[in-house]
Amino acid sequence: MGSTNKRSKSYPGFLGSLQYVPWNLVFKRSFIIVSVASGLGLSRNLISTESIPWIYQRPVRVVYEKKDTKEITTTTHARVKQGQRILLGLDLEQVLEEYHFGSVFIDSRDTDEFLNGHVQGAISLPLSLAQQELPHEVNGLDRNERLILYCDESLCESSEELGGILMNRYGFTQVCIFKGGWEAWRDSGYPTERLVGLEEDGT
Amino acid sequence: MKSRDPFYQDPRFVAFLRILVGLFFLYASFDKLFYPVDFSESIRNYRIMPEWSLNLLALTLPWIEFTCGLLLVCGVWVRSAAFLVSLMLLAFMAGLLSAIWRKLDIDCGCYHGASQDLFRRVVEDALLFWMSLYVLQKGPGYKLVPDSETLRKTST
Repeated sequence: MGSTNKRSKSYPGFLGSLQYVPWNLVFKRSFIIVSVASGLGLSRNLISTESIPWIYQRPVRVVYEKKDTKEITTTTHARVKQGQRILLGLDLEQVLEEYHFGSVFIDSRDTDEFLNGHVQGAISLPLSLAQQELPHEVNGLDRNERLILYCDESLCESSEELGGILMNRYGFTQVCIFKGGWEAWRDSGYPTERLVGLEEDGT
Repeated sequence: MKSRDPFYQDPRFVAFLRILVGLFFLYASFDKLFYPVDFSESIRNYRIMPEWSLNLLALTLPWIEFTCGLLLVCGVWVRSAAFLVSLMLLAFMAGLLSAIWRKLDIDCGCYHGASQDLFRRVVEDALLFWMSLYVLQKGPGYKLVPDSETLRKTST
C-alpha cells in the first residue's frame, strides 16, 4: 500500500509525464515521416497534369517599369498561358506622376470599401462586377487610355485579375497596377476622397 | 490500485483517441491532397508565411497530415505521428489566433465543410491538440496485434 501511495504522489502530471516519452526515437521517426510524406507530395506534383511550381509565383508578375524603357514581362505561372496577360507595375512615385498627368484610376475593391475612402477621382470597378459587365464610365473610355488599377495593399490580387479582364476581354492596351494600393496612397497623405451617403468629406 | 493514478486510462480509451485524431487528419488532408493550388491560396490569405514557401507547404503539408493520420489509425509509429500532429496543430492554432487578432475575414482552409468561425476552429484544434498530446504520452494504447514489448511484459 505504501509503495502505491509513493507512486501516486510522485506522479509528474500530464505535461510532466512527457519526459518519459522516448524522444530520440520520436525525433528520428518524425524526420523519416516528414521526409517520406514530403517526397510523396512533391513526386505526385511532378507527375500530375496540373503540377504547380515548387516556388510560389503570382498569377501575374507585376514588373516595375523603368520610366525610360518599354520592358514588359509576361507571367510564368503554370495556370496562366504564356502571353495571356501583360501588365505594368508602378510604384508610388510613378503613380503620383500619373495622377498629376490625369490618368484614369480604377479601384478594384468592393463598393463599400470604395465609399469609405479612395484615390481622389478614381472610378469604382469591383472585380465581381467587371466579370459580368463593364460600367458605362469605363466602357466609354478610349482603349489606349492609361488605366491605373489598385486594390487594398501589396498582397491583394483583385487589381491584377481586373487588369487581365480589361486587357483580354475589353481590349484596353495600357493597364498598370499600383502595387502599394490604397493603403500606400492613404498613408502617404496624397489626395483621397470618401463618399458616405454620396457626400464628399472635402479632403 | 491503478485507478488512483489520475492519468491512468484504459488502453482502449487511448486507442479510441488515437483513431479519432487519425481519422480527423485523414479527412482534413483529403481535399488538400488533390487541390494544392487552392490550399496554397488559403495559406497565403493568412499573410504569415513568405510567398516563396507557399507552394512547397501546399504540396507537402497535406501529405504529412495524411501520413500521420494513417499511422495513427493503424497504430504504427504512434508517438512520432502524434508528435507531428501536435506540432501542426500548434502552428494551425497560432495562425488562426493571429488571423483573429488581425481581424482577417478569410477562409480558414482547414478541411472540406469546416466551420468558417475561426474561434470555433481554434477550440476544435485545442481539443485535438490535447488528444494528440495524450496519445504522445501514452503510446498506441490497445492494439489489435500486440507488439513485441507488450508480449514480453505480459509473459513476465
